[in-house]
Amino acid sequence: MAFQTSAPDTVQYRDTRPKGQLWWRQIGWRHVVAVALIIYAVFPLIFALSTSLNPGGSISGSSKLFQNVDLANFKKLFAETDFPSWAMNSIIICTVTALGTLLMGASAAYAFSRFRFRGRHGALTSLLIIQMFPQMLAFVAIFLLLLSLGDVFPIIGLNQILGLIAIYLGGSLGSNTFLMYGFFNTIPRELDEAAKLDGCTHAQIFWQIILRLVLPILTVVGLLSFVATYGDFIIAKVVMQANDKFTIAVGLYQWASNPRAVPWSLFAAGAIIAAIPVVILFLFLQKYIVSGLTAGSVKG
Amino acid sequence: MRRSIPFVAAVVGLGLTLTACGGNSGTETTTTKAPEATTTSEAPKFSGELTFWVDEERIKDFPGVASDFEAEFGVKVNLVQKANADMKTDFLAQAPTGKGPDLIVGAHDWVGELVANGAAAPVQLEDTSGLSAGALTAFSSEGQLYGVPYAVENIALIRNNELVKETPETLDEVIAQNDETKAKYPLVVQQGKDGDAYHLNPLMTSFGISILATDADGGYIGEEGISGTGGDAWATWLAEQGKKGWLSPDIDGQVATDAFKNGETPYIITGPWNVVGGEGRFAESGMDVSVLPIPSAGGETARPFAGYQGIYVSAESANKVAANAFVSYIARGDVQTKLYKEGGRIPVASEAAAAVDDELLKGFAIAGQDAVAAPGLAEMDSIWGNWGKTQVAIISGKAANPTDAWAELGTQINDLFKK
Amino acid sequence: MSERSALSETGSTVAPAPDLTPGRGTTSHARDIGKGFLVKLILVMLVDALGVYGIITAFGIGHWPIVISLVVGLVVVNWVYFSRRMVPLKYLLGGLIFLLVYQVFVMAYTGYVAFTNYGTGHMLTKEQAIERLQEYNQVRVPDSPTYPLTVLQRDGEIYFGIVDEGKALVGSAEQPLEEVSGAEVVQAGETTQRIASAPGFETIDFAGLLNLDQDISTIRVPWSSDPTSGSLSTDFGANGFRNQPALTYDADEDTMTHVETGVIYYADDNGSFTAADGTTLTPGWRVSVGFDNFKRMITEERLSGPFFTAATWTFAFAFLSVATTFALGLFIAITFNDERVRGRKIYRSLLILPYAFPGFLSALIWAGMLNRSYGFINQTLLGGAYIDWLGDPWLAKIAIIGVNLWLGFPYMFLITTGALQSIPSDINEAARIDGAGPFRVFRSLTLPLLLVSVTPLLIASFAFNFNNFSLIYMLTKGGPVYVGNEYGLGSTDILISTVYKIAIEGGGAKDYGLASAMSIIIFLVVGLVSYIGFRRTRSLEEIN
Repeated sequence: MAFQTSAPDTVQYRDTRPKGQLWWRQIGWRHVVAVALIIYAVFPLIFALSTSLNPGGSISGSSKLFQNVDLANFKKLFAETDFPSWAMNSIIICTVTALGTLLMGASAAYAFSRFRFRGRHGALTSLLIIQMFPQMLAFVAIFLLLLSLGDVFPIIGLNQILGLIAIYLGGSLGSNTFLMYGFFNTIPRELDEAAKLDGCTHAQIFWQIILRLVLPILTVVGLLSFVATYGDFIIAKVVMQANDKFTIAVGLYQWASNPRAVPWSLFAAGAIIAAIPVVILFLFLQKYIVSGLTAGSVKG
Repeated sequence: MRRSIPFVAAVVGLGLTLTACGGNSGTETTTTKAPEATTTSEAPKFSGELTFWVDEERIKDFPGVASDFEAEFGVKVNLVQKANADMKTDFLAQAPTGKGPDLIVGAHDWVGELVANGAAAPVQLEDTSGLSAGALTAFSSEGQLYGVPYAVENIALIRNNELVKETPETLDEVIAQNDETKAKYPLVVQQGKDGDAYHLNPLMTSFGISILATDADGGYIGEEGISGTGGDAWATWLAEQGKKGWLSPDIDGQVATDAFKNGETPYIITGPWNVVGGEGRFAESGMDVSVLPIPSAGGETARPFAGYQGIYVSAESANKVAANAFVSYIARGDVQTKLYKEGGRIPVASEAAAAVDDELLKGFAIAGQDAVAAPGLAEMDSIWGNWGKTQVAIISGKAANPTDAWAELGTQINDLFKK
Repeated sequence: MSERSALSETGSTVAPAPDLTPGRGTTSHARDIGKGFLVKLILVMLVDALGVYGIITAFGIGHWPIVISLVVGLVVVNWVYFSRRMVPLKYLLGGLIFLLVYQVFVMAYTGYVAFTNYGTGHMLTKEQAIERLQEYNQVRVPDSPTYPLTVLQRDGEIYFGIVDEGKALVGSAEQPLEEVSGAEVVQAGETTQRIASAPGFETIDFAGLLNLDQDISTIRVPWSSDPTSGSLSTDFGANGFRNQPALTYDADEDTMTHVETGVIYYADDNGSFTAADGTTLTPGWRVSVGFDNFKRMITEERLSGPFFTAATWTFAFAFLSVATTFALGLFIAITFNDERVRGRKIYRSLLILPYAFPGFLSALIWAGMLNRSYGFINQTLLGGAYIDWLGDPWLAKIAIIGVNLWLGFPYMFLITTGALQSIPSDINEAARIDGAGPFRVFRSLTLPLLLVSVTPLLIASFAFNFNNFSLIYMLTKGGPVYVGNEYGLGSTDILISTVYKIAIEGGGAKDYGLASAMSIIIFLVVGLVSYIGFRRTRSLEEIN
């Protein structure tokens, strides 16, 4: 059975590189678009960076960028605040949640994609629709739920990292499953059949064949889950009830909600640091996201 | 295809290649729940500890006092930071479960709502004679005390002494003074998109009106107090100032303080939180400022709101004894002196108030002599918002007829109490 | 669905050809049962151990819902994983358990709250409310002093001891204060005295109080056998206060009686004690009110009116947010999906940046940048223009969609990039060779294939934006407000922020019951819209 992942450098346009006008029409414009979009994407962040480097800076009053360049805010962030423990909590919570989401989402997507069972369509639809419940009032229910669970299993109760992770996992099936489901469906079933003929069980097919082929979508979903968890403060601030248990988002939210004097520059510094893990993660995962299941990977 | 792929397993983060042909791939619940069995920590709260919610602004006031208390009473006080905006809502939701905090710090105007919901416990103090009567009244409802006050805040007029030296008696003259000073603004008062009734209240009261009517004892009653000729004059005045440009929804707290710091205005109406006691505030930034009473705009005395800060005990606290001990401790004069030294807020215990040695804070205390407590009725929650928004609509010229918009606010307030 | 795939899809539940069915491959089974089965066994045993531990603990504290859920859960888990059938469920169960516990419970709870009057004045249980009313209506006996108090214990019962008019008095909750002989009395203040010890009693200091099982602040020691003489209570064992109840509760009649006026308050159906003249005592308690909250939404114009006003904008906002972010995200994904573009990696990484920032922070930054007089956009970018981005009803709407585009396009870029990978490039190549232009290839091949996998996500994104409370709140707070609106509603309020303003923020009272009812209606609306959209996608799916 011929089965191989082709390397990303399988270039489809093998002929000579386009030159001159043709280059502009086919490629050059993409660079122009890139630059324009990058300005749009990055500009507000430059603004935040400028604020973070200006002790006493604000986010609405200053119209000149980089008037002041001073790392005092960053030093303060790590020396005088709980920020380092928030960052650690965020990384742990988001990593575990992302991995858990992948495991649950991929299993579910496999089940929906490869098995035909009664209520399959109904289950798929309900999964998606249940996630649409507006959780604005959830803080009361979540508090009570964790209170009760914590009486029995203290480690998933209030103020517990695992308690928060469990809540995030509870909400992870919906759209993640869908994204993966769509992708799983594009993996030819001939592969499964061949494997079955080879004597492989459904579990072997899942773990050894399918998961490998859906790597791009796994990385995408993992990243999406990480980012979504990373930015949440609404649920996290209900669950986490001690300063050193906060996540970055909760901690920064607390600073921003000071009714009197928000430490904007410190806040911006925190946000800049907060963005780094996601950017690194993306840089690292990018090649898997676009690794490409090119033609010829499956010749059933 | 039997070249097994450890990489996938690595991505998934679990060495589950082991399970390859086992058909157990759905047991992932175990991976997150597994540690439960081994962990028996996090015993239920024992009575020797208190959980105390403090907001981002006041968290720095308490660590010293909390450790003193622990040394004296053997009870540890865990300070938990809670966003000011969430504190009351979360407390109301959590208190009935008995698992909420034992203590929260809050403003006196929460009394009405905390009592209406049965969230705060009544407090009885051994001796209240050392505390300011105004503060005690502010934390009381129907004769019962529900919180122990420790500090008071009010806004004042801050002058940049490098720009002007003398301050006229009335606000109109203050504005006229800028004809010579030629600063960008004669004065700034923070508003923002949704307005800020708190910062405009001293000017409004100088027109002889008050947001709620008062009874003979000076207590607020459920009726608006803003209509009549004073109200019309105020609305008209607001619209005029809006046209002059110094009073504007574009000037939010941040813009206002920046303008003052950058010397774009000689005056700002603000509170101690911008002036003294912390990094980046006017005094600490090296500015030469004076704190003055707010001049009258409408002819009568300008009365800022006095905002009392205090500590509430949860009605369902499992540690009432220790919590009561803590609030009694906070009522002590020497403790309030320490709170003042560490947090830089004007204390309400007379012994501690006498110890205030900072010129700027003294200025605030003097500016606060005519201050009145903000109403603590539960309805205020919605009044604040509408009040600010109506004023901003008048200032920005969006309300076609200022006096009508103002009268409408009065009607809305009365409707609230009729419901 | 092709014939070939149908064969594999029959799965293990209805197996026409057993030897082809996953999970029953005889060769692999014989070879792998040891390892695979063992791991499964260990994992399920772990779950069982935890479950049994949980059942015992929950049983111990009498938490029946958890006991029942755990028992049911354990039976299901063991059944599913040791059965040879139900293969799909083996893959779904883990996620479903989390979903049930953490999502469905939250929904069910909200559903339950919608039928109660939970909210300001009705946050407590009846028991708590009665307790609180009594506690709140303890009035200090006029001119009574503060007594230095000593907590004593005898035979496990707590006694309070004070010195009144030179007499040492001791009493407990059961036994009114009476003079005790032989007590050692010491000076406490200038004019006050305290009992240091009393014969037969053990004196408890503050540290001892903390270790008592009982909360001494709730103990009321009758002043004398005359119930109207009041009672003695303490704060933290240091001081005693003589209080009298202003209200008394009659448990048999379920009434509260005002001691001074004699007015009787009856427990009513709305969870309050109410007198004949209609005055009520606060706090009240939480009761079921049936469909009242839903009825109010229809019958009260001031509730239903804003709902309809916000609905149009909510749909427009959610739809436009999805459309713009998807269009831009897809455009970027396709633009940089060409291998020949150098620096793609850097471009992609920079374009993902808006997504890396915590969203609420970005919204705050944008709000600052859009300030009319001082914001960077007007001041610097537009050279001192005076555009009221957030203060004009239409501009504010445009600003919100613009900011949401900025926040949301990297997400769409990510998922479309991911989904594009699933489209075999030989299809495109073939189409090109057949002479189809790039646009034609995109419209006829790439887009339809892409939509199959991303449409559900577009629907999910629509639903997310439909309830995107935090964006609206951080950026405009729903403003600019309609002048004089009683709830402070404004032209960019979406349904969920309308609910928040009406039922939680405004009106002087939190009304979680009403808010829950409104949330449910919103859920029904967005759920229905999504369901219809979903049905349509399914037809797409069948085609492929």
